[in-house]
Amino acid sequence: MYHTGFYLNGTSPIHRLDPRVKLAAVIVLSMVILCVKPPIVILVAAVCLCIVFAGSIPLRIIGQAVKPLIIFVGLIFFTHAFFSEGEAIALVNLPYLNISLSRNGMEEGGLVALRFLCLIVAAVILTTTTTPSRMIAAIKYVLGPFKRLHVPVDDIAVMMMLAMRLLPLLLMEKERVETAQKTRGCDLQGKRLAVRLKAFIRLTSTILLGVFRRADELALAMEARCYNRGERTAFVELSMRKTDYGIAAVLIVAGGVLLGLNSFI
Amino acid sequence: MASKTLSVKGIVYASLMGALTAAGAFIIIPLPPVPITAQTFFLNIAAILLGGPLAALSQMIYILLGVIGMPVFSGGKAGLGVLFGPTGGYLIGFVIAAFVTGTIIRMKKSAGIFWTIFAMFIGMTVIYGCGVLQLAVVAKLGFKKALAVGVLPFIPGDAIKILLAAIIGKQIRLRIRV
Repeated sequence: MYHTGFYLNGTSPIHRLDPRVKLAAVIVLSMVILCVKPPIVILVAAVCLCIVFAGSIPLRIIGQAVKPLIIFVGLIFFTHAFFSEGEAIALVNLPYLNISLSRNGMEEGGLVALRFLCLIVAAVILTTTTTPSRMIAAIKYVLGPFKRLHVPVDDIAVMMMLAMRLLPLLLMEKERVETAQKTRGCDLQGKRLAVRLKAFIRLTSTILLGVFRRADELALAMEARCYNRGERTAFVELSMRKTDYGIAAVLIVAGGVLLGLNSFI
Repeated sequence: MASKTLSVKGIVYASLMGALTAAGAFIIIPLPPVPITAQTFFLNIAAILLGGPLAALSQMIYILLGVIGMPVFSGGKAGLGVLFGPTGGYLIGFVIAAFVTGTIIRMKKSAGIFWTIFAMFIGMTVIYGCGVLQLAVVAKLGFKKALAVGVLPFIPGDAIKILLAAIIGKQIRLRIRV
């Protein structure tokens, strides 16, 4: 299991910042970064890097988060580099295939890749400096207005907790069933596709029946303890401190200035 | 949203399917040309077992798990950046597709295997529609290029996943009641 995007314990100002401010910052960043010009993107990337240092997040973690996406970023870069129209660089030219490496394309590809990297780094900052329970509290707050539309926001928070609790149980159940089937002589690692698919069907349907039985027990236990749907109190209560308001204000001003600069350049 | 009809059992089942979809990101089946994950397989199972609204809720839980930083998106990714990034459209498509597939399956009292496959096919079309749209917009690729990068390589794998989901869904549907 990859461990990218997990919470890292710490006491930096970024850790202590209200998760709602962080969440809002990331959402706004992800929308704004797609429509600003190159110099601003580079500036934002530099700011992101500064925040990484301020939050004392090891660069190794950032590297781990970026690694699985490198192929995708590379793919985007090269599609742009080779298929964009513009002045071709004579060095690499494949006339028979009608594609060529162009300067425009490389610039554009690099920009798209940089934007993408910014988003990844911002998301990593958010998740490595916020505990899941505080994150759920923030999401509950953000989804608050949807209560008017009869979206069961409180239930969604409970369900997220449940799902997080159920994840390790699923892996345990899978190992249990796998061992049971192996001891009874099932061929789980056949070479042929048909054998493999059969093994997959057998394994999966058994696991599904098993975990649904567990879920039944859980539902029964919740009902037995008079679990009621609707408004709930939470263990984590968020409260905005003065510094949180201050940072939120700074972010809004900085965003405004950047957008202003963007229309001038 | 089926806010009034949501039972405790429904809540637990939807959370379970959300967790299963998350676990599906780690089940990678090596198939040419691109390795596939079992996520859409569990999406389809959710649609078969839970019906439209609950299945959509389960996929929403899955996405939110990723948003709060559990590495549950394909390839162990996590965070909001993925949702707004080039491949985020597929994830948003998951919620809509689960709703559509589940609703189509429940339109018939006892859906046969062909009706189920048809419903899942529609669901896949929804996922790819959303996915390609966002890929084209975010990565600034042309529509044809986005189609070549984001749809064609996944079709063989998805055909197999649909078939498997239909078979397994049929086997266990009668034993699990929401």
